[in-house]
Amino acid sequence: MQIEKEPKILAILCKWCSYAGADLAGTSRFAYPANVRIVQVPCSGRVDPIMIFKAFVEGYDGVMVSGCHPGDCHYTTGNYHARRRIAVARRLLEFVGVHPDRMHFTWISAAEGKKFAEVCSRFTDKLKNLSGTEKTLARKELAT
Amino acid sequence: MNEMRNKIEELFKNGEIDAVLGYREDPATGEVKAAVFKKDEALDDMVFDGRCVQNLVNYLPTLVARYRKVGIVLKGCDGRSLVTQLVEHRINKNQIVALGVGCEGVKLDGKEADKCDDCATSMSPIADYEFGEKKHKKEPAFSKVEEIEKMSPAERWKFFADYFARCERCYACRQICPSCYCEICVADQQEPKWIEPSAKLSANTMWHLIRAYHLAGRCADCGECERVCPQEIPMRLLNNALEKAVHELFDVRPGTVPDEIPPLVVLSKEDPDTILEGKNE
Amino acid sequence: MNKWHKMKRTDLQKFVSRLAEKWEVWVPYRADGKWEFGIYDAMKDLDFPESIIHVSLKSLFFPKRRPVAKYEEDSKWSLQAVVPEDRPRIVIGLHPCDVAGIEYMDKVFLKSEHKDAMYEAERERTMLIGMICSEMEDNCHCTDRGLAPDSTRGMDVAFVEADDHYLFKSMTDRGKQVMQSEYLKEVDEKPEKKEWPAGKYAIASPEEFMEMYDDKIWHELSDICLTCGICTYACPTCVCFLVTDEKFKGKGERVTVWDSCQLQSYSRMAGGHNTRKTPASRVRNRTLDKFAYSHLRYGQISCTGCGRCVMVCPLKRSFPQLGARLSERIEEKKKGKAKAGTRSKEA
Repeated sequence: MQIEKEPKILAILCKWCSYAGADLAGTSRFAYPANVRIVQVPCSGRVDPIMIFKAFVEGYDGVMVSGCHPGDCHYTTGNYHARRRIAVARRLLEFVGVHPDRMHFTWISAAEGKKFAEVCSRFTDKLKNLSGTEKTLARKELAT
Repeated sequence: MNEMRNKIEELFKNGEIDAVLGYREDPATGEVKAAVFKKDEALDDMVFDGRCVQNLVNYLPTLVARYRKVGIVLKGCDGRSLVTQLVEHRINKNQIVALGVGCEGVKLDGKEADKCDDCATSMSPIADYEFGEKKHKKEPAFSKVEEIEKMSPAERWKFFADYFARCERCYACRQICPSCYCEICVADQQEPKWIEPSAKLSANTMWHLIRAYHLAGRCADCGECERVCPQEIPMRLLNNALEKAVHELFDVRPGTVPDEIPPLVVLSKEDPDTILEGKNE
Repeated sequence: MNKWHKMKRTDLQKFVSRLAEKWEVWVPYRADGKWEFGIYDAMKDLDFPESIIHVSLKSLFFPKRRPVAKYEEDSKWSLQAVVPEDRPRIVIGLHPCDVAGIEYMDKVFLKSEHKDAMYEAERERTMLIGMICSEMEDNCHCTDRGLAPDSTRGMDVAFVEADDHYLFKSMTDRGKQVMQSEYLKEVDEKPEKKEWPAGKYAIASPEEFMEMYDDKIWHELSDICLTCGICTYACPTCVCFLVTDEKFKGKGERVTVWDSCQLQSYSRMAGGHNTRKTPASRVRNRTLDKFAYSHLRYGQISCTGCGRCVMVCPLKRSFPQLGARLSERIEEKKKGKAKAGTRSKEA
């Protein structure tokens, strides 16, 4: 099926900033690739690295996490915690063999609709470049 | 050793402790195992040498629940894991008497254990009484981690997938780790079921990744997880990779400073955003 | 009269290769220095380990992960039972304790109210060629559990190493199928009858064990135990399992997977209540199950005395010693030397 060749991206976005930014991209008609599947969380601090691990094991080509800019978190300090957790999670995933280009972590505010669209496009392109390489960690079948 | 025995007898006598966690040599077989010495028991079988491999801190919480106050014999690495237990308020300092012993390295299968190459401290960072010599700390070597870091992503995954596929999910690594003490482990959670119970590569990968991640910044590198694994999976490699990461990112070596809050609990506003970047960015 | 047959040592591999032409043959083999059982590969030299391997052979009849039903999420959404294997199979190299374990599993899966169809199919298709032990290893204590290293009970064919050759004998009609071989010659010779040591880990009776339920000794016995579950995975008669559903990309399977009563979550129920929260309660459960409950339900204790639990325990605890220590306590109480057991503080 042709769709399988397109990279599948999981984007975990915080509700107050990044998800709103994605909404803005939509209402402003900034096009971004359909490869991105969005999951909304209340705050980037809610992002548990197990979600990122699961995404790669279940076959996602890339994972993106985005939250409010440091200092602007709706819950004041959530994104500071997220920054540390995700930094460590990234290192672990790189260590076991996930290509660094498959992970992208960023801060996108509610006003940055254009940035959201650009980030998604660039990330998708990066993953398309990697489509020749083997998708590590991804499970192949039900019994494995 | 005699010095320590005398001190323990003294502590029993003046009622300060009701039991001691130490190492006992079985007179019949010569094997050395973790053991609880109670108040009126003879301490003749208590030993401390390179055969004292087990991390006794793992048993501490059960024992402090049963006895009022417990003494514990601590190697350097075991002491590091005790620091984590105290900082996380799992045990109170006033429930234990820490008997630090200067460790000269332990033997596994007849030769010195790998973990002793990276020994952060031969004497427990927490010790009410110290016996033996404190040796200088070695700077972390992480040489095995660096070997993996030289491989390409595909090579790394091949290396790890072979091991993860072997995992039986016996959870010995979890049970023996003092820092793994969640009442309901994430591996046992049903809703959502993050980790499937069957021992297949995908579920095992999830298990090993989350186990290593939950220990990030808390693992004392006591090496017990690797020792007990029936499939000889290099558990320490994952833990050390994160120890290196935490050291590079936050300049912390877990458990070496009493009362130091683990790095992933700390709220820091000053971390640079660059820590989120991958190698190619 | 059914006699023993002699086979030259050098003919064993040829014999097995010949069998592999008609049957699916499982033999022990070494992978990365670790022994396992797998399908015979004629390219590899046939080799038998000196003693029992730590991997329990129960996985040949009751795999670690076993699909029992499948479904596909398409327009019809159908559920199908998994069709059991029926290809004829031979397993070579089981020891008497392994076979005793299989006999116990038969009681659990075949002779109780609910017959397990998949287990039955695996048993039906498999011929057991058992290897009689030449000696007892350090951890072996089958003689204290009603077995013997030279027992042929339950085997279809038994063989034993003797000097420079092997001696084979068929025990059942099924076993006779493989005896017509150019490599086997009927002889009058019989295997050497040996005296086997016993008494190392003698235990009390099941009824006496049952009376130990409320004793405080369980705290002492579980002092150092991790309740990791490795002993249950290695044990030939531990067969607790979990049923769970797994799915991926539109396909799903209902599978049984090995579980262990030693794990902290084993008895956890909806609402968070756990009847065996403490390590002491879990150690008690396993011990009494091996030495008492199994006898109540199936008429035989389920411990086969193979000693695998000792081999694999990360703390080198000794489960048999635990049974022996309990038996000691039972004796103490009988003679009134110890204080009468009081109700333990927690379950």
